[in-house]
Amino acid sequence: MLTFDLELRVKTFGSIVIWKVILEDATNENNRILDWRPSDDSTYLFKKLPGYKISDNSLEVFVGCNGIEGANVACEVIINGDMQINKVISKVTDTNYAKVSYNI
Amino acid sequence: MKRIVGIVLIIIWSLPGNSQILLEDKTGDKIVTNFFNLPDNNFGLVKLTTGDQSLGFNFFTSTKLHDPAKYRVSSYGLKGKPTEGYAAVITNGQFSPGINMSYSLTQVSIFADGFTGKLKPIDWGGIDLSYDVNKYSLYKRDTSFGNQMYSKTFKGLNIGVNYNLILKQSLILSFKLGYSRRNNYDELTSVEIKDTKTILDTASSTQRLSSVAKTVKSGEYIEFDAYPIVFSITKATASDAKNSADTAKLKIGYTFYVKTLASQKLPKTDAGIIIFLTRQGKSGVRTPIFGVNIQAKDFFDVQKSNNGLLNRIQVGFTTNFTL
Repeated sequence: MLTFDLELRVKTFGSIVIWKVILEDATNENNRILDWRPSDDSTYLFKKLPGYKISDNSLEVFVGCNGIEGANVACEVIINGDMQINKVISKVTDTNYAKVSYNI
Repeated sequence: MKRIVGIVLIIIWSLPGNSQILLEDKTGDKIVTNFFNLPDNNFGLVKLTTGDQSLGFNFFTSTKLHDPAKYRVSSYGLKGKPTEGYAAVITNGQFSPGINMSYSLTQVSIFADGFTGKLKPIDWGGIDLSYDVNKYSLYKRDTSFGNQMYSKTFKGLNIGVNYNLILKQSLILSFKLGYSRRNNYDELTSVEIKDTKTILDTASSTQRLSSVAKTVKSGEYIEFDAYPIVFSITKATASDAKNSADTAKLKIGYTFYVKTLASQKLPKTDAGIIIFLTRQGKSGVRTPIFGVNIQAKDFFDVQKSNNGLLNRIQVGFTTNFTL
């Protein structure tokens, strides 16, 4: 079991109607992230999950969205204060969730 | 000329806009319940519609921050207009107020919340409530002189439900039905009444004429219950990638709609198209900056006007901007 501080930052581009971020297992709706907060400059939404626990050494982040063609949702992942290089980018035209794995 | 100046002013006024459109037909009836890119916080929107010459304000709140995949949006609206139009205000100094208060509650993603698959449908729907209070100036020729000019206050409740669906990330289908208390004021003929008084000064042998003009509607005014049914298809415009040269281009989107008013008194079906130009902002959202509404009133001539479809074509302009 690994414990770490996790922060997720979401930016939308274009006309997005619905979006969701799920951790670890895309089929488990209980892992969906709720209650987002806007940043001070309102350029992104964030969710802080201090002391987040995973059972293995890899964190899977899934992002899905829907809206008008050309739009997308980008999720930045910050682990223990370090911004991860790879963002999770989901386009409205994607037929499945976008997924990125982060080794802890 | 006044109309052209008005249109130009509205175009200029709309330029700072960075919100999405609320599509309305020429008479100000909402055709598409559209609130894409609703900011995560509370949000205000000012709307101008030249079709019914109204100026409106809408305020939105939503639960989107709690769950962006399934949320509710509440909208509170207030719209005002001179019932005889701005021409009567400017030329005669005449003002009869018309007010519309509205509330709507919308649930985003009811049956379809497509995150996977090819078609990926998304739906939303809800209820609309509104209340109109309009004061009208009317003229009845076939009565005694003192009763020819009279005013009437119309109070009407409107209740409706709507269901909307996006298919293939570009087509928006909307369906609405409900109950509406209506009147035939817009169908009556506009006439200008001029009351002239004569004063004769015998000392100077001068006759002085003074006149007061008023714009009123002439004909038999009636109020009735109606059941509006609206169906529309909107082709939304796609956003272009940040580094694309096409971001600077204006794109054309459109809405086809059919609006049937089922009623015993004045049943009719209006069909129309709203063509709108969109401009992409920094957030990638394409915002309609100007819309033209061409409407064929009483498309099937149920009211037996017998004046040809072309004579029942009306044109209006609509746009909006954020506060």
